[in-house]
Amino acid sequence: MIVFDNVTITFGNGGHALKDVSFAIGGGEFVIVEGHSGAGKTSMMRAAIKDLPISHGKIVIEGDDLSKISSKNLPLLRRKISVIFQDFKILMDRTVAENIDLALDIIGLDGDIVSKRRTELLELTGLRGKENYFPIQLSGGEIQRVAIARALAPQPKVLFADEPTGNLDALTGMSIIKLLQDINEQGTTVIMATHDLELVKDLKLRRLRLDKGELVHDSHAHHQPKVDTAGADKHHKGEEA
Amino acid sequence: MKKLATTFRHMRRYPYQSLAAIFMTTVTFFIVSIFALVVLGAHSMLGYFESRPQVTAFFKDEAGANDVEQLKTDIGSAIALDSARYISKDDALEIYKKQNTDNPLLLEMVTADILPASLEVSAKNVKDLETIAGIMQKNSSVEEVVFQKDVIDTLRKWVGGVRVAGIALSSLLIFASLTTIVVILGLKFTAKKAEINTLSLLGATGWYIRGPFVTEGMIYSVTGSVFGFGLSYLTLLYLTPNIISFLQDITLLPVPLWVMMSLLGGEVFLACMIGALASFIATRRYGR
Repeated sequence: MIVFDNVTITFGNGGHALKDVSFAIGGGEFVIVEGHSGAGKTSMMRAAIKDLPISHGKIVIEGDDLSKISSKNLPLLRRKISVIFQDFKILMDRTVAENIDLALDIIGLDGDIVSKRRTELLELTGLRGKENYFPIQLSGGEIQRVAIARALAPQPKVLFADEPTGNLDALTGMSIIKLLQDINEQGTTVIMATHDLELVKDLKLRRLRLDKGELVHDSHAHHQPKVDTAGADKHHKGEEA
Repeated sequence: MKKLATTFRHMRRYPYQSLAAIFMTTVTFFIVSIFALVVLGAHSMLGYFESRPQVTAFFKDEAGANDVEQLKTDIGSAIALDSARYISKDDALEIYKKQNTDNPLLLEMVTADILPASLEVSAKNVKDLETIAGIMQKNSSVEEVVFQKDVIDTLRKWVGGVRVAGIALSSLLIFASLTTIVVILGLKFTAKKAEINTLSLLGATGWYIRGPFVTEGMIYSVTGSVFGFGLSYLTLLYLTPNIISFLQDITLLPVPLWVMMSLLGGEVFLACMIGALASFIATRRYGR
């Protein structure tokens, strides 16, 4: 479960990336976060992996209050929540297989398990046969698939996809969305940020709309999960004890 | 093994920077080894002289056997003698010939007449050397007294000077090596900032990210220490015949294997410390 409770992110010059944003997303949901460029979609995702400090409010992810997670334990959080970045963040000097292996190596897997898991991910993302290609040899859609495969490597509970269709044509974009839906059907919570309203207009999914850092619309607001940030405190106290 | 592979990939990608770091540490440990060997050798020489408390009196040409006996008696009545050895002019010539067998030109020019007879006196206690020297100097048949306390004092001063110079120069070079590794690793760390940021976002721990850099720093300094030690050992082997010929009776060489291995072990340990400290500083300083 992901809870944003009155989250505000203020910049040094007084501007807001997010302003009093509150919502809760239950496990296994597929949510689309809409908004124009600069609406706060990327800031929201960066805040969720503690890559951007919040000025006010509380974020609870899978029972962990982010404000109580030390820098030592931050890697563990980031293995539970994967992000597909807008700029991919693929290592260009490594092959498709090496990019995926990197994520598996980070979580401490090695040997046969790595090759088995890599094969599964290549199969899932339709990259079978391209494992020895360098990113420069791939199309934009294929690079996006590498980013998805790498993000899925640690078997995260939550997958954030920041503009995963941003640089792709409509057909390729739809195939990426279909892939994210397949991943969601396997139990992973998927949160997809996009500014391309046309591409997602026919999808029967929950939508959060951000505008100038504020949450202006939540399509499932009336039946969203109850926000229980106190539970996170109890969870943490239990961990500390 | 994977982390070691990552380290070697970093090194291969910037080979000249890696060579610069290894070269600097090699020079540092070459100088450290040379100074260590010189100081160790000088200590052994001091030990040699201190274990032989000796005063030598060189007699005038007109001195006879009675004068020598009288001097022996005077010394023997004043202190506890360990040994007293009279070396006649002929004995002195024999010794001279032995010392210069390789140089016939020097042998041709010398006869027993121009070499002085002498009396070498060893005391049981090094403190008695000054008393012996005093008795010898008062004796009218004695021309010159060579007192090894002077030699030991001079040698001790030299050893002290060499030690201070060695520590100062070694410290300076160690600092230069440390700085070189910090700068080189820092440049590499900065060049890979985007990749490091990606690793962090993928959930890599601090050690996962810093580990290859720490290993790299230690590889530079340990490789440099082994090369520096190897070079100094080769230099020592090259100079061994000259050193043996110069020191004659004083047997410093060959240096025992355990001494060389201890020196190598100490240097590798120091290198590990330098490499670890340099990479720690670099990843802290440039990782902000």
